[in-house]
Amino acid sequence: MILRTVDLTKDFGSLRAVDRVSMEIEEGEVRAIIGPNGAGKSTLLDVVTNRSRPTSGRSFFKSGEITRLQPFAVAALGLGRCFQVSKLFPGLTVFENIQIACISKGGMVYDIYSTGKHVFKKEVEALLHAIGLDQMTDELAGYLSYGDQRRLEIGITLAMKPALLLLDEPTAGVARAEGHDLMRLVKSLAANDGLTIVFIEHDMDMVFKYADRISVMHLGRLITTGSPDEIRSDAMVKAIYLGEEAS
Amino acid sequence: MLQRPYRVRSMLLGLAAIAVLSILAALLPEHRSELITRMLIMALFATSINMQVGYAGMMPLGQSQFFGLGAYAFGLLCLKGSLSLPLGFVGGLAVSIVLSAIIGYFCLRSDSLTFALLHLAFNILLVTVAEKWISFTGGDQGFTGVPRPDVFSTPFGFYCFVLVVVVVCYVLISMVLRSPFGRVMRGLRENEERIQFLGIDSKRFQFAIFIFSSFFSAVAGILWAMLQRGVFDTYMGLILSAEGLMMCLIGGMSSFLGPTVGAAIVVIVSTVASTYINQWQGLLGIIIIVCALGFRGGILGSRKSAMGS
Repeated sequence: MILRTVDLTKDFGSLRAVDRVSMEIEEGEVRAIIGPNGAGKSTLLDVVTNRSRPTSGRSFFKSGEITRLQPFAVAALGLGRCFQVSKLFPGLTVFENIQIACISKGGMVYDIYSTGKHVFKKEVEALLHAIGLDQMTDELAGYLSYGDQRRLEIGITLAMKPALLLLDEPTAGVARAEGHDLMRLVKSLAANDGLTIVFIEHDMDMVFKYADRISVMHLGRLITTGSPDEIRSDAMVKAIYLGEEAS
Repeated sequence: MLQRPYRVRSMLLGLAAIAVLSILAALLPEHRSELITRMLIMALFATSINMQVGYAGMMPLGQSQFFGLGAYAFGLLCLKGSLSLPLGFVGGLAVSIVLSAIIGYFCLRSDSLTFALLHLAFNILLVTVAEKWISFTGGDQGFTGVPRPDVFSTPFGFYCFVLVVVVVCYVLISMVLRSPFGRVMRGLRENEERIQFLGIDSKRFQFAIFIFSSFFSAVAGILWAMLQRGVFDTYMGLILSAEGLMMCLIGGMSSFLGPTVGAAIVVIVSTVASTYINQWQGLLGIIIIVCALGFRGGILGSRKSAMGS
């Protein structure tokens, strides 16, 4: 087991956005989290990575507790995060975006002697090739198309060589074919590097096609977890989620 | 970022600029050649500020406090502590580093807006101490008798001394900016949260930038104290803090030499124009407005102003 949450809860005033979620993610699995808007999916990721503090409950990553750690410390342990809205370095080039992640991973953040331009050049180029951005090395990240920005964000996170990758709607706003490309990319990288992936997704095609297991959230609670087939035939899930989608 | 021919060209330009300045400093009458020395020192001050503003996206509203700290610590150590000039120089820098670490620790407790305001608050606090602790600092009269290096005591000799110190500082600063550390600085400017999610403690990182930047501001302050042969409370004044930021804005924050150009303009305008026009600060205001609206990104910044946001 790589990630475990115990009764994780987050209140915003009187609103309980995440309600006693206890979830276990196995190493190497691709897990989708689905649920209607406002179900608390993104908030759950925020609380796990400590972007916002949980009101109560605990979370464990690998063997250690991460509940009270700062976001940078959680990230340094190998928990990578892609956001719903891409968080890039817009005024820097595609190359530099990935390079900064490599500098952090390589422990050279406080290196003031080396020449920065060429550090980790090979690693950056290999990764750019893997995510299909090797033709755009010198473009400013802020000028990329939306889909390429999503790719770059995944690339930056992968450069950290995380053990667990949290993706918040990786294919939202991307053309359908491109969305499938992205998910195939993520899935193949996961298979190669033994990466565990948790992704939030609204597109049911994507979810049923790429997830090993699916967790369903509703009104802050974790309703159920199961294989795609189990979820497809679960009556309660149909009622609260798929039913809504159909209507 | 720069291509190699570009770097060679900018180095040649830099050498040419040094040669022209040196010839001018040697030939001009004393009160004019001193203007060039002032420009060099202010250029160092502006460049130290720009490490934070232009490269790391931090907003140090009260940077003159470190300029002043360097000057006061150096002057007091030499005069009241009877230290020799080299020891006073080192001691002044040491005091500045320790105090900037304490101030930086508090300024970086919270978000970037709080940082800017706390920075200003400490500036106000320190300048008040400098003004009111008359027995120690001389209050608004300041104190005089600050030494210059013996071998460089003539105006041109002192110019050479300043030139060497400033060039060494520029080399160190550009080394930092071109290092992996400097790359991460740019990332910090672009998106602090992403830096955090790359596993970097952004506050600790900003603290390191803060110390570097304050160190070079203090060097500029020490040089200024030598130039004026005295230390006065205006060295810590809010006007100087504002002028430092203006130099960055006027010259352009996105290029290494932008603040240097800005410093030259501000020094020339404030010194030359003030002998002809009483309200020279008004003229400075007009220049800033023209730069802010006319050349977005400052005089040297226009070619790189295409930044996505």
